[in-house]
Amino acid sequence: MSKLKINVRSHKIDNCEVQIVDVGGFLDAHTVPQLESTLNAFFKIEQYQIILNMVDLQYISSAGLGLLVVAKDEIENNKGSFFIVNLSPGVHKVFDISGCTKIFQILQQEYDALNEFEKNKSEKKEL
Amino acid sequence: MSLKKINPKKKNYKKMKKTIDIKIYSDFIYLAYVRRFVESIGQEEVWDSDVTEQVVISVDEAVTNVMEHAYECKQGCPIKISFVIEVDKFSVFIIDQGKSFDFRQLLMGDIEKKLEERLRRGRGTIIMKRFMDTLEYRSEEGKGNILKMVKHL
Repeated sequence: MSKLKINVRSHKIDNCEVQIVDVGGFLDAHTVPQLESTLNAFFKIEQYQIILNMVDLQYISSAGLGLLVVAKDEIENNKGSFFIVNLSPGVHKVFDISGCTKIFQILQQEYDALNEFEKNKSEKKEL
Repeated sequence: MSLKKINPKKKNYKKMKKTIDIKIYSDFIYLAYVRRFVESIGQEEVWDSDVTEQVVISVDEAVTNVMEHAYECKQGCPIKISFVIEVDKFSVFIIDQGKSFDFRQLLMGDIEKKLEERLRRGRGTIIMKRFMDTLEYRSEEGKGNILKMVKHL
């Protein structure tokens, strides 16, 4: 059975908590509600610093991409940051062909995204 | 499932047209089964893995469209999927009895511009258009809606 696996971790940068969501398996119209409820749970407690680590994601359809577009809008409307990391070549191709590489901040590794959060944090401090 | 026109004893049977029909019901739970089925056709026919991946996602998108739009997420409505395997092309027919929709409208206009817009919906049709070689949609009274997709091999 093609399932979606979700694991949530958190990482602290100073006083800011970054939520890291490991997404594995298959993200299609059937499994999208699972990830949607995970993200909505963050939004409910006003957590808008999110990294999606898709290292074990084997498949994504447009239903999954649609959810990510909505999540990105919600995060940006609340002045948060959203990074997607570790896309497999097959999943990256779907992002690319559907124009999503232009919409999302896609980085290679999780630490690249954490560095971005660190950078944003220190830029804000300087201001 | 019915497998027609195959006679392994006949010479050149691999070159023959093979037709496989399956019937599912509108429920997203079936998507994984349909993908596995298409993947197995690709393996049996020894397609390039890229081709298999492209056909798999296109069929997933088309079936999802039927469930979401034609049947408006109502469960238990019939969807017939016919796969026609030929030496130089693979055709898929997806037939439903739900609401028809303006498929052409979805594909018209500047696709690049459409992709840059942050749409939650509509990317599926664009994925199908980019991965398959032809898409034809028609709606016929009494017959239902038929989407035909062809991938040249």
